[in-house]
Amino acid sequence: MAATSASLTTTPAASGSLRPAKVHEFCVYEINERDRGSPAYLRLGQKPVNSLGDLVPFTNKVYSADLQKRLGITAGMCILIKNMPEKKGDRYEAIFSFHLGDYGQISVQGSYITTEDTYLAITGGTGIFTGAYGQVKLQQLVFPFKLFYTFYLQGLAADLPAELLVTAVTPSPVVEPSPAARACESGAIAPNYTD
Amino acid sequence: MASASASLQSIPSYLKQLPPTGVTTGAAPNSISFKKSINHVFSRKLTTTGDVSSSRKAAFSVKSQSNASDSSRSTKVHELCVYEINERDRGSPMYLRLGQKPTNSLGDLVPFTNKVYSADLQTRLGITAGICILIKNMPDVKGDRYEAIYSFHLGDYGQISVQGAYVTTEETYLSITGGTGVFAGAYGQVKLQQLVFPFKLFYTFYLQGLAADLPKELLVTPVPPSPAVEASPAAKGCEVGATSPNYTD
Repeated sequence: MAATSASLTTTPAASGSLRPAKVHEFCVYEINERDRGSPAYLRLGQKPVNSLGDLVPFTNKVYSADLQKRLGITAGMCILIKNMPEKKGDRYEAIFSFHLGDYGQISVQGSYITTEDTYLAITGGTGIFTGAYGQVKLQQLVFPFKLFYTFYLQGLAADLPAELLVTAVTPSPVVEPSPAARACESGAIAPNYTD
Repeated sequence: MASASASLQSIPSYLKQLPPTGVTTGAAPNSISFKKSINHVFSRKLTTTGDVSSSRKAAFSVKSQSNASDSSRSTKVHELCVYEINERDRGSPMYLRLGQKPTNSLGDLVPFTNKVYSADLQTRLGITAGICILIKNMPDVKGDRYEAIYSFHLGDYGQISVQGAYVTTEETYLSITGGTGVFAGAYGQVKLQQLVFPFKLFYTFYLQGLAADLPKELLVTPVPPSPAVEASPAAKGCEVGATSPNYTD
């Protein structure tokens, strides 16, 4: 394989694939406030229990880690893969993005298991997240209404803005966004937050 | 980007004194720790001389679960082969004829999930999970073109996510869109070879961007792909010794 001779003295053609590997940790909350018609459980598997064939498009709100700012939304789809009655849960394959207003978006893909934490792959990004790769940890706090994400972003051109790197409220089932953030009051929203 | 290649080419003299295998490939198993120490030293050198990735000279962050001691994403290609086999016990595939025509047509969606075995068919590794989107029915070649978006979930090793064309009558290449666990940071492409439609497929991943070499238990010698391949009885039975750690099911 030619690549085994790809030494550190790599040719200019390969230098374009050298993306910064520095890891940027970034956390957000995803909260379903039941005002976006989401989720839409399409029972296309046509069985009385959740089964392969069921598709679940969804979109929820995204808040900063300190729950003081509305950043944007998630948008995408879950594909039911397997119902696990013994665990009272389901395995989904999730394909979705986090749209964070003027900051840009982060796209992810991976497993969502309703009874445990999972890691998803970061497949790309736009805006300040352009070139993003890495993985994101999903922690479910209240199924399916509150989730906490920890992104391990690599490939970014620059450090994330300080206003995104706030100290997180410790994840728990009782977390709530601040009233100002929930009401999208000025001062409690990201620039052109996605809605 | 040009400055990155310039600084890489000017390897500090103390590194040039080290054995070439350690510096250039780190491919041999016994030089993995050696390679890591090389990269750690080398990457520190890059950041202090003006890393192309950012203008600040902040301390290089190594706290993360993926190996961030390299200052740039590895381009080394790692080949990994697996078999995907549909044993018809997962309710898959689920052909959703939403296009509502008598023949396969745009609008049809096909969620699916199959079992994944090691290349030598001795170990059950996990599952595939995702969806095929029917793009075009091709009656002249008796086949269909799909756009496939799915992941290979390989137990404790992590997952590899892919996206691309699945054409039932020929082999295709798909993009590797990402990974987790040992596959975190993965990019590159994967070759899909169909052995028996739609029950047996053989994949060759050309993975780049990995933090370290793949564990050797994944790099077994493949059984040559053919329509007659079968997983070993022990792997099929998920017996102890024939499964990978916490294989996905």
